[in-house]
Order: sequence, then C-alpha cells, then structure tokens
Amino acid sequence: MGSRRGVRAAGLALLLSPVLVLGGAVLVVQDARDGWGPARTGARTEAFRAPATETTGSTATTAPTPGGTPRRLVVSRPRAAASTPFAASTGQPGLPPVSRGRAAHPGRVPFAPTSVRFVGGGASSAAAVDRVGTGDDGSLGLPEDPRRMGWWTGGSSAGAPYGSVVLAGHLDSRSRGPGFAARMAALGRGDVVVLADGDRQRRYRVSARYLLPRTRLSELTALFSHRGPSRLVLLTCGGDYDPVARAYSDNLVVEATSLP
Amino acid sequence: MRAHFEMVAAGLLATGWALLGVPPATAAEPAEVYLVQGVEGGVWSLSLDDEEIAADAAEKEIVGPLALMPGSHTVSAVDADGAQVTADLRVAAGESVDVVLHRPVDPTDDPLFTSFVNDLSPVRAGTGRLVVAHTAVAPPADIRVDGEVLLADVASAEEISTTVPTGVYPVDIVPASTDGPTVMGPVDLTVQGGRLTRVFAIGVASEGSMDAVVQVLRVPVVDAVVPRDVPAGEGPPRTSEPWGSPVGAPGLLLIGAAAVLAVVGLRNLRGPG
Repeated sequence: MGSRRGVRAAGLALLLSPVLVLGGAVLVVQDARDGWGPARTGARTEAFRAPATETTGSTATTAPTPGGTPRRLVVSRPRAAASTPFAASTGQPGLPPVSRGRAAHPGRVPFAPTSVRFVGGGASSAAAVDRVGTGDDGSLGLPEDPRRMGWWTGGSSAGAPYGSVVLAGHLDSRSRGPGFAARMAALGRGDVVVLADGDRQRRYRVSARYLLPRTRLSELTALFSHRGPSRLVLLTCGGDYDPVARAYSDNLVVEATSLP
Repeated sequence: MRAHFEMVAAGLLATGWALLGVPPATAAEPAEVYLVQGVEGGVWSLSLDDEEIAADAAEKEIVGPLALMPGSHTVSAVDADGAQVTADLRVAAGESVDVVLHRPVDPTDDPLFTSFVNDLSPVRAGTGRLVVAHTAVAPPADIRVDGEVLLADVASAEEISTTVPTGVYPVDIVPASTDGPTVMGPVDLTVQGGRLTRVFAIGVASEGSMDAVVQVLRVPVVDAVVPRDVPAGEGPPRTSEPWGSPVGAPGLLLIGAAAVLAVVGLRNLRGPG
C-alpha cells in the first residue's frame, strides 16, 4: 500500500518536474559549474517513503481500519502496584535466575561516527569526526581544525534506518590551509564513504554532488530530515569567495545512499 | 559575586536534599521494574518476594512500576491450573527493567521469565526509540515496515533497538531472510516522539496466536535545531602575501593590466601633441 503511494508520488514528481523547470519554480537551480545529481524540486520530499501518518494523540485505542486489517497495536497501560520499595535479599538457593534478554546484533546498533573515509578513484583518505551542534545564530558549529569533520548531533546516527546523517567540515582555513572537506570535490558517483566508530562501520555510495547557494540551504529541509531513506549528506563551502566578507557564496553538497 | 551566589545556592541545595531526606543518586537507588504478562490466552497470579502484586493478570497486562532495591528478588507466577514459575531476579541500582513471563521455544515446557533493560537515554526531537523483543514461540524473524526489513534476524530471547521518526508504522513479522508467509501482521505500530516504545512479540507462530505487548516509557528529548547556515570555509591562507592577498594573484594582475590600459588610454586622449 505504502509502496504504491511511493510510486504514485515518484510518478507525480516525474510528471511535475518539467513543468516546474519551465515555470521557473525549481527550488534550487543546480550550479552548472560543479554539480550533478537529481533535480532538486520541492516534489522530492514527497518521493521519500515516509511512515504512513503522523502521530496523533492517544494510542491506547483499538482502531480497526474499514477492511478489518491492518489493526493497530494497543499500548498496555501499566497497572500500578505497591509503592514501597521491595527490600533485596541474598537470594534463594536453588532458584533459576531470570535470564537477561540479549541484543540481537550489537554491531548493527546505530552509532555516532568518530571517523570518515572517502574511497574512490583508487585512493582513500580519512578524517576524525567530532560531534557538532547548531549555534544560537542558527549556523552549524564545525571543528576549527580543517583536518577534522563534524557530525551534526541533531541528525540521524550512522546505520539508523531513516533520515540524514549530516557531516560537515571546513573547505579551508586562513591559518591552516585546505581542509579535508576539500576532497569532497573529487568524490564521484559510485565512490564510497565509510563512517566508523571502533569496530562498527557503515558504508554509503555517493549519488549526487552539487553546489547550493548558502541562502537556500534552509529551504532544502530534506537535507536535515529524520525522515526518508537512510542517507549521508556531506557539506562544505564552495562557489565564489568574497574576500571582504571572507565567506563563500555556496555550499558544496555530496549525497550518498546507505549500503546494506 | 557570581561565584559567591553559586556557593550559597549549592549550600542551600545540599541543605534541601538533607531536609527532604532525598539522597543524591547512590548505589541504594531502587530499580524500576515492570512485570509483563506475555503468555497469550492465560491468566496468571504474579508475586514478588512472596507478595502478590496482581491476582489475575491477563495476557498483555503490565504491572508496575515496582521499586526494587538493588540485589536479589524472587519473582513468581501461578496460573489457574496450578502451573508455577519461580525465579531469582537480580537488579542493579537505578536501572529500569521489564520482566516478561512468556512461553519458551518449546511451547510444551512451562513459561519462563526473561528480563530486558529499558534504554532510557535521550532521543532527538521528532524521533522515538523502538525496541522489539522476541518472546514468542517462533523462528528467528525479520521485522518489516511496508515490506522492507527494518530490523533483521531477531531470535528468541533477543531484542533489537533503533531510533525512528515519530509516526505510525505498518509492521509485519516474517521468518528471517524470507518474504513470508508472515507470522504476524501487518499491524499499525505508533511510535511517539520522546518515548521508548517496547514491543514484545508473544504467542505461538505455528498456532496462529502471535500478538504483541506494547510498553511505552518516557525518555528525555534533546533538541535538534536544523542549521540555517553552514559556514564551512574561511578562504585561502594568507601566508603567501602579497600574492595571497584577499584580491589574489589574478586580481593583482588584472589591476596592473587595468592601470597600464588607463595610462595608455589617457595618453591617447591627450593626442599626439
């Protein structure tokens, strides 16, 4: 049912995209100088396979759909019991212990990445990853050291089933020269980006790279969304450098899809 | 001044703790325990440390939260036919635990208790934690959403945890690495933001009695403010001045060329004389 809706949405997006382009209603125009990837129209967000509906209020009701199935799982309301703490004993000899449930696949638990590696064109390069957040001024804080990348703690974890894992890093630093993120410009379609933390790792395949005017970044909410398929979004600066403002005009965006 | 204020505040706080008799978190902090009746089609009397806490717990009933001091406790269940299950439950200080009475892999054996620790760590705004535990008589299973595997290969007495956006998920359960037939579902599962949603799969797959107990616990939420800007470049280094000046080498060349042109132009304007 949901996949049919997804197909419909994708079909609608396909039908609409030329209309949007002709009407000049493309949300973000790809920069022809450095970019390839899917057309970024507003319809794209709809193409993501999202949960059926938003959460609404109480869930403790049985809600059969007209067809009888599927039905909704009912939340059990715990029955309150004695309020005084039960004192511990030294244990009754001979009683079997209550066994603890095991984690099914500890290595597959989503994680906060501590390193990132670009693999492509026969070369491989890696950088350490720090946790970063959004500052009071609305801009993403980044590691000062351009050799390091930042993982946005507000986004998805590596290996999470849905949403964007967002990493960003400085293109360059006036005091320390080019950053690791400068290598993003060399990432091509099919190249692999590996996020890791100790033994755990997650691989992503590059699907798109494009320049985006920095002022348009906040319009592309899908880049930072918890919803939609599992993906990786790499961000740095690009475009024209304004020596007076000491800032770049654009963001360079690399998108990658999660590999199993 | 500020430091002084903070010292006074800390002092008052300490006094407050003492007066209220509320100790800071220590090893003596009780564990929070929920007893989950996960035997389908049965009514059980549940007891803890020889004290009956529910005389008639039907399937999918949850009793709690119960405060248990860290250490050893006796948990037991008796059904109408006199079948009895008793086990030693050990809990650690401050942890939150679900203790599930459920059927073993061999459904002809007596039920057993299995405990699962609740992960109450924070989640990001707009998301909830989903933990599915396999406490059913069923083969290792995949949990799917809309036909796509969300959580793969969960065996009996195992649990698996993930974080998902809030919403209603149409889920079904199939034997691991197969496309079916489904042993349960599809059913709509609601995941609320800022909550741990625990799903205990119960029942006997071969008898078509699969069901699920759903427990929802509140967890802290960390804000996830979407950045409006990613200022990720400061410009090229200034180390090679004057060629590395803000205008850059090509810029200086252009200025130079413009100056030459301007001089030539002015001469031409003046004319040969």
